[in-house]
Amino acid sequence: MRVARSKAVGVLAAVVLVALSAIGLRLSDPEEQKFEVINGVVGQPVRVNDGEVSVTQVSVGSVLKQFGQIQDSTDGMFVAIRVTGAATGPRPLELNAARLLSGDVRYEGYQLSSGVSAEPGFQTTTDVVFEVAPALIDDLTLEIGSNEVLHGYQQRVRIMLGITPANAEQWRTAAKGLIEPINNTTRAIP
Amino acid sequence: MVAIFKIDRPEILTRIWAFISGTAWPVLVDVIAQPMLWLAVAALVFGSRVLSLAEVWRKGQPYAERIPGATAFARYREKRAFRRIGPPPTGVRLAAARIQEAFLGDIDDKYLPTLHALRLVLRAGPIFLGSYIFVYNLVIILGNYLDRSINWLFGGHEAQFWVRWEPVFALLQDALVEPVRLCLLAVAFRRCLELFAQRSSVSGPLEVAEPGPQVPAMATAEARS
Repeated sequence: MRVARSKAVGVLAAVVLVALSAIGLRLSDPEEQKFEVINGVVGQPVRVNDGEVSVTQVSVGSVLKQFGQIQDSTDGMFVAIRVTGAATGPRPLELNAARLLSGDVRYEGYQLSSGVSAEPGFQTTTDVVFEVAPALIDDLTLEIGSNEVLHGYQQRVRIMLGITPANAEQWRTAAKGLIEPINNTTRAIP
Repeated sequence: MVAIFKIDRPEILTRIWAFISGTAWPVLVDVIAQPMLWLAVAALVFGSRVLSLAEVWRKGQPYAERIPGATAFARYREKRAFRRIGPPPTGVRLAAARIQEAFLGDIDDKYLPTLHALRLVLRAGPIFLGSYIFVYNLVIILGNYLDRSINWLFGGHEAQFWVRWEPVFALLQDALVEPVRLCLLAVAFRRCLELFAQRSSVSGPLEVAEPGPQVPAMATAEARS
């Protein structure tokens, strides 16, 4: 009886130790932290890699007009974000992976719409377009970084677009019209 | 019964599968199997006095005892019969050796040592195994936090930076963590042998060739080597 009880205690102790190990491994998992997050706000430039990136305008609509004609329409909502990338350092700025985040929901760029890149000494402004579900736009955040085949611990900029649960309805109402995103415009950094 | 309680069987199966694939399997592989297999590898590397297939076959008896007329105490008639048999022709002996090597060589070289190493680890008892798994994972956790500290210290960079510096950071990390892990494996293996020897001295002579009382000495001496 005593042997059986001590064996049960041993097994219980082993299970507790394994559980503790599992929790420790989960908490320290390096896969959980693959990149450094740099937070920013609309209208303020954020330093990233060899340059700066800023969001200056957010517009919404349900009809997309490009090159003077209607390109597409959606039952959801198009979000066009004006992003400016400036290569202030000696190397080109390549932020070619942009996505929108709303909680656990991730929206990839609409068609070929991706990020922004600029040569040293220049700044490029472009509208990055996303198609989103109107019901899932709370705390919509732009995440922009480099899309490298081989990468280590990267930097990614996250800029909150100002769409909160409180004003989400206003954004949904505003998304009934037409938007006309601009294409890349490049100029020298002043 | 299912209709009364409105049990959604597909939902239950989905949740069970999600638990197995998301929680149970990673715990089994990363937390339990990895340290156990590394200890088994340590047992293979350090050596744990594995029996060969022939020895298993014999079950501890001298080979000569199983052949009538081969021992000094055999009957006269059997001794004469044994002498008449004589050794087999060279060709037959060669062929037999080749066939044995081809069919049974892998068992002696790979499978028996692996099986024996795993058996040695698994029979060490739940408290030892739980403690060993905990300490092993503690070392891995230490390595993970070291990795995080390096990332925090140097921050995010493009691939070019990591291509140049990652080997240096990895070397630094390995230099700190790997010796601890190897020491732990060596200590755990030695303790495994001690536990194995204690158990066999309590429950009677070991299956290993030497008789009972000598086994603990052999086990510890082997661990030292």
